[in-house]
Amino acid sequence: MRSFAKAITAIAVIAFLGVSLRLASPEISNPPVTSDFAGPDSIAVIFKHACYDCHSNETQLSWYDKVAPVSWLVASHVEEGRKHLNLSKWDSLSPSQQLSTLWYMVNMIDQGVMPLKSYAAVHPGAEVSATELQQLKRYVVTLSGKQTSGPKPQTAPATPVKTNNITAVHQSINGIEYDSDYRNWKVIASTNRIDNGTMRVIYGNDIAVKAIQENHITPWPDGARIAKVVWNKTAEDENGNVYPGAFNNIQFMIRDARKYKDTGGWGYARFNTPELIPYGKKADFATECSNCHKLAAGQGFVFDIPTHASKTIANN
Amino acid sequence: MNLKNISLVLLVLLTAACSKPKSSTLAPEALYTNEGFSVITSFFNNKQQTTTILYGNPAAQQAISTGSAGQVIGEDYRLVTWIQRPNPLWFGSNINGQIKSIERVTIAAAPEGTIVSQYELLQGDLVNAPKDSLEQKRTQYIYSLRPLVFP
Repeated sequence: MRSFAKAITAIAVIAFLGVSLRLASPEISNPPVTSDFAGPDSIAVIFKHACYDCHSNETQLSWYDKVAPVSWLVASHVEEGRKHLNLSKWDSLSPSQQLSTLWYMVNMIDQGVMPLKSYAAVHPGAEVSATELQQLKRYVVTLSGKQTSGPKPQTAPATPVKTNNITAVHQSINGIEYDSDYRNWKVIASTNRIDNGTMRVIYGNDIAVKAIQENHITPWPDGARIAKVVWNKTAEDENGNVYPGAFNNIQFMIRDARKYKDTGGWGYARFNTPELIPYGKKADFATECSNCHKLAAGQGFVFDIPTHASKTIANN
Repeated sequence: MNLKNISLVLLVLLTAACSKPKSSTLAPEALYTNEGFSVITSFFNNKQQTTTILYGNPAAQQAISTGSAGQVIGEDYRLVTWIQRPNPLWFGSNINGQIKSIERVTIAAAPEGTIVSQYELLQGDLVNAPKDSLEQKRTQYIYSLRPLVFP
């Protein structure tokens, strides 16, 4: 009789907790779709099963998504996800933003960051297969290929270097100033991008170069400075050479773990066009930079450092 | 901290424990450093999958920027070429790997007040071509490169 009473009590407690947790769950609504992602069906179908639950207004919840504490996590994922990217508001992005977003999405998937491991673990249908990832890669490469491939290379003799007389202080909204001293730093790497038609030379100051040489980059030492100078590419010549065209922008990463703790210890700044117009209208623009650089967390949030091709190791 | 916050923290920690950032072994030997030399230009080659930077001392920078490369004693150029490979951290970006070759061209004084250019392959191999012709071609090629436009 006593054990029967215990069982009844246990059932009552579980039921009470269940109802309480259910009632405590947040509501996740689906606002109207204003402009759905516009792309081939073969690509849209991948996004729908892998991304839409958190990155669209067409969230489809399983029953267990609606029970606390899972529901709290799901609600926060959906809220955050829609804030970062909402594929139901695709036209709110400019064509160039759409292209860079697609590349970003492919890279987030390629690096195993998206779909979130915790989400995919309980939503196996969200996983992106290797075949689908290849499909996505081909898609973005094709899209970028449709962009103009740049002007023809100039074959005339060298002309004088155009150097602006930088007299005014060029300052990002977060206080980081354009630092022309980078020309005296060492080159860390040179890169070229097929996603946005640019090529770059990446410089590091002595502290940054020493950090690479001594493999002390997780974390990088305070005082490290990196400058990435970006030029547009010109069209490939008959020998396969691609030369730089117009100056596009220059980006700085300034290491100060305390000052820039909200953005992974790095201060970010970018100056566009030869006029060096600071990028970012609000101080939190660097969060956008920092979020993307999280993909390079294993290299202290710096993408462009020469590494060995065959000795990839997991970093704990 | 209420039940909701504790649960969220636990769930986030569980997620974080499953995610490890990717990292690779650094290749500091791929960095080319030479005091007193600055970047003149940079380019890459899709057929050979290489990326190249032309460095120069102040005399070389001045000469090439005024279209008079190869005419002033003291000009010193280094053409450094790396193997190019995909950046493991970003699909769509190629980055330099190991150094493939380093070429040097200098301008020195010659008898009777003339000047002479000297070509040296300091490191690596270039295409299989007659030595004299190759040296002359490479020297002229370096002189023909246009400097980058810096802000």
